[in-house]
Amino acid sequence: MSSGQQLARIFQRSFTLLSQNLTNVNKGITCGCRVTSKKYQNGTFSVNRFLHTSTNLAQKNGHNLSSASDVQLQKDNEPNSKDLVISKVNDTLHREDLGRLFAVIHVQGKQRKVTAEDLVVLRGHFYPSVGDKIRLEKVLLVGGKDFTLVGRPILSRKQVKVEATVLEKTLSHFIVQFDYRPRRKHKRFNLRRENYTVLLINSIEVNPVLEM
Amino acid sequence: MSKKSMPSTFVKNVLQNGIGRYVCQLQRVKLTFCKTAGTSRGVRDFVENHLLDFTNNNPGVVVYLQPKRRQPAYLYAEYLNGYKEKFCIDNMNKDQICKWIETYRSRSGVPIMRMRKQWHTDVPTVQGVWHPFMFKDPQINRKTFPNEELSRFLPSEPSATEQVLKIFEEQKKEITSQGPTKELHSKDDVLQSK
Repeated sequence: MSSGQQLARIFQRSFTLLSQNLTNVNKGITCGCRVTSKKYQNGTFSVNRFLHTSTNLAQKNGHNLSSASDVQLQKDNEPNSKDLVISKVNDTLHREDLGRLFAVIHVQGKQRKVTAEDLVVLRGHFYPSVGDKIRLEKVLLVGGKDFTLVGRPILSRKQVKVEATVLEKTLSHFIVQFDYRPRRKHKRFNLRRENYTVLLINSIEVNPVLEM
Repeated sequence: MSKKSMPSTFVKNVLQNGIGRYVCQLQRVKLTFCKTAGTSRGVRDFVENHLLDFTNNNPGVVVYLQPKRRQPAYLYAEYLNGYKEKFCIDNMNKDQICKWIETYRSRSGVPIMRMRKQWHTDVPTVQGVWHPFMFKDPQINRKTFPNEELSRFLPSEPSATEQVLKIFEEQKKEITSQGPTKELHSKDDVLQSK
């Protein structure tokens, strides 16, 4: 077997491992990393950011190639491993400077991954007028350098705040709509313009979790 | 006209507007119209009914009115970044002119072109770009090839032998919980008892 084929196999293998990893992480979320305040469910923690900090447990068991899924399974067997992860995430949330945050917002039927000072173009009718400061309430995910909060499906209003300014409401260029059917004497040429709205993301803020 | 032949641009924020506070980018509006022509009727109606409302609501925008005899009516808009645009408002009624002035007010002075992306960011990634070795043990960088362990076939489903062994373990557990009547030593015994 040539070295190229070998490399291809390694990549294929790592992709399969990744898919295993993802399924296991999802299981981990569903079984215990749920965070609720008094009344509302605030969201879930993804634990994959902390897997690289754990010791190589799979190698002790005799596997030469350790996968994240193996580590995850081992961590599930340990007592209080989820509490450890949750406390680590909480510690990072209680830090004063969280660094740059990003969020996945749902606006006008589309999901956009944004961070502060981003520009997002919305197509179609958008009610707020230019210069308005708005708060984007459908936040599906918020993440920082070392943590990710995933909503089920959206995060609580109390936990995350994404603010934006309507910068510009303009029109698109002329979009050509040309219809032609051969042998039918049918030809139509129309020009169309769409409404564009440009949003500037001002800030993304995360409140620390009050109650587990 | 095909899409590729049209000039294109990316979405941009003029003078970092809105990061502190929002500033209206429209600076000057000039309306030229005829005092008598029927084609300028809408502009004259607009000046009589809606112009003062517009100027009161937008104190940062200067409005000039310039009567021109027997000329078509035009709207000239000038923006903070120096961009100027001329727009024919001949034969429009006052509602249409209201709408177009509002459109020019809410623009940022960037020339309208085909937009290639609907999103602009200066920081494309916060957590880093994913790659196949993201959460892997760095030990796998030190392998030498050809490597038998890494070249091993990874089955997606458990093999028949593993399935039989699993059934054997389960049945062994059941039997021990019920109380052993007969000693089972191998999987052949289990299959026979089944």
